[in-house]
Amino acid sequence: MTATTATLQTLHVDDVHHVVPTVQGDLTLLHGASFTIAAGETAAIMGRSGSGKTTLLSIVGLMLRATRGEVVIAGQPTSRLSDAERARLRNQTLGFVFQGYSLVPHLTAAENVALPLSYGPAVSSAERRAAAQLLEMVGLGHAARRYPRHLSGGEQQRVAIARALVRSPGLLLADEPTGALDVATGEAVLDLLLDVARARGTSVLVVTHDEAVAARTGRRLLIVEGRLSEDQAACAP
Amino acid sequence: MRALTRTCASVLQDLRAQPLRAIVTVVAMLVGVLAVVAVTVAGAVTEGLVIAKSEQEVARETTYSVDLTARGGNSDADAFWDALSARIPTDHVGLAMLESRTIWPEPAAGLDAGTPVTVWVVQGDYRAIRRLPLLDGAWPNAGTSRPPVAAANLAAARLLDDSFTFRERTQGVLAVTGTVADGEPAPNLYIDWDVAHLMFPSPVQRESIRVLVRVDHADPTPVRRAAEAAATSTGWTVQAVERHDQIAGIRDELQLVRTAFLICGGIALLVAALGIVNIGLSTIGQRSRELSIRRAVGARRLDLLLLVLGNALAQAVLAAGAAVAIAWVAVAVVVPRAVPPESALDAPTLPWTTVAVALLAAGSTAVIGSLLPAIRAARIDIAAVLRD
Repeated sequence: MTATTATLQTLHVDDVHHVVPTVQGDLTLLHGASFTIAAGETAAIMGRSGSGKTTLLSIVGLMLRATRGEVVIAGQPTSRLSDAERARLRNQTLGFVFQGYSLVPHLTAAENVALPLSYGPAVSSAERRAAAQLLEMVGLGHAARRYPRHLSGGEQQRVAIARALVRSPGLLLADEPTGALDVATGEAVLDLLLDVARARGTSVLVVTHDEAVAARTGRRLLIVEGRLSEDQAACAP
Repeated sequence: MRALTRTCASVLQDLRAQPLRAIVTVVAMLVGVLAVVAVTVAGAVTEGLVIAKSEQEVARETTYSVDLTARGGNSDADAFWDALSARIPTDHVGLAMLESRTIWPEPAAGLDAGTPVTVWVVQGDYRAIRRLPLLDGAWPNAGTSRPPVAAANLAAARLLDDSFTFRERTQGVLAVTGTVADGEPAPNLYIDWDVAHLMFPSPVQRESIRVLVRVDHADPTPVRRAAEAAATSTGWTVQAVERHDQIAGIRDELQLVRTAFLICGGIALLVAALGIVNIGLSTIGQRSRELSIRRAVGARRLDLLLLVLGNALAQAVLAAGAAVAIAWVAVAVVVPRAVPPESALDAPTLPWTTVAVALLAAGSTAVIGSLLPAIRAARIDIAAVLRD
């Protein structure tokens, strides 16, 4: 892979397998998943429960090591990285939006947004100010000192989006970002997520089982029983 | 440095996570730390008081008594003193020769007829041997002033006028120049050896004398050698050279008591540590999702380990601070009441080592108690954040 390609490809997943031992023998959760996400691209991985989409997101998010295969993030192969190096990459290159209740309950909204700044390289005061501005950007500047228990589900997810972007990551990974929200709030949160990512040139990979959510992305990948493929039907004009 | 600052900031934020549990943990730790601090402080304060009292009533540490008996009829106490002074090791810190007499102040001085007062005739620096704080006036020095001067203890000072007439074998007048606290209830006067010559025809009545020598080590051999050499040339025989002060025995007894209480304190700390393990493991179980989120946004295993350990250490600092504050108040309020006013001894203050002991006890309890929870936090399954 050339440097130019590496820069353009935020994420490259190459023949990723994942096998877990069970009492009945080895169970293969992923069968050679391969795909690429380009810089600024938005994509969705769709699949039913148990299809392997969460396992794939865990591997792409460097939370789980693949049994075989390679995940390249911003040109950096990750399979041989140490735990600390993977933590650094998660901190600086990836942003995460989880399915509901993903804020640290005893931290204020502003502190939750700044949480990734507590780890990895030291940050300047300008970067800290940028964290505060992110909260403004998601429309919650007034709630900076509120704790999560005083925020609605939609507001919590907006704080989570701000937190995911605070290190200006190249790739934002979202796991059922609207799963815990009502339809209207979910749509508003998804709008925000995609708009902000687009404005900052951040690639987005959404894992969902919701057709409506997947339809908002530029590309759909389908995972069935651990086998990943392009959703040709969605790609058809 | 920045990493340390960030870790400290995270730790302080983290104290808000489970405030009630943090308080319970601090209290559990405080009980154990307070036990150890109490033993340390009580030990130090008691030792300070008891030793000071013993130094006042008996002698300071490493004081030896040399008992001599006259050999024949030409034994001269002054000659022995001069000979001993010349021979005594140069590292001695106090040398005194004592002789006691009893006098009867005249009833006109406001006393019942026949009230005896003991006069201690002192050669040398007796206050280097015993802790005898002056309450007022001055210690009687050698001289030929008239009338002869003496220092009175509190009991004698209450009985006697500044100048009074007394009866011994002859009649005389004595002036009190100072009041000294010797911790004794009976009336005592202290008078210089040379002054005693003015009062009494022969200060040494008996065929025996006692010399007290204070050195800065626990080996009596040099003292014995000097005393024997001085005695041989001046007509005296050394009967015994013995440890005169009681400090070593007091220290041994206190150390025994302290050790027993320290074991109790250690058990209290161990129980506190087990409580912290229990609370810590429970807390980590409840915070597993939050910890997974922290890992997801970039925390290393080490960061979570330090977060949990740091949290416990912060609580330890609070517990240690509270223990020191309680100890300080107790020492400031209780100890002065335990010191008899007539002793004129300074009330011991809180030893600075209390802070170190409190921090060490609390810190070690925190580390022991939080290590297992910290390791569990560091091993938390990061991918659980996606499955929950």
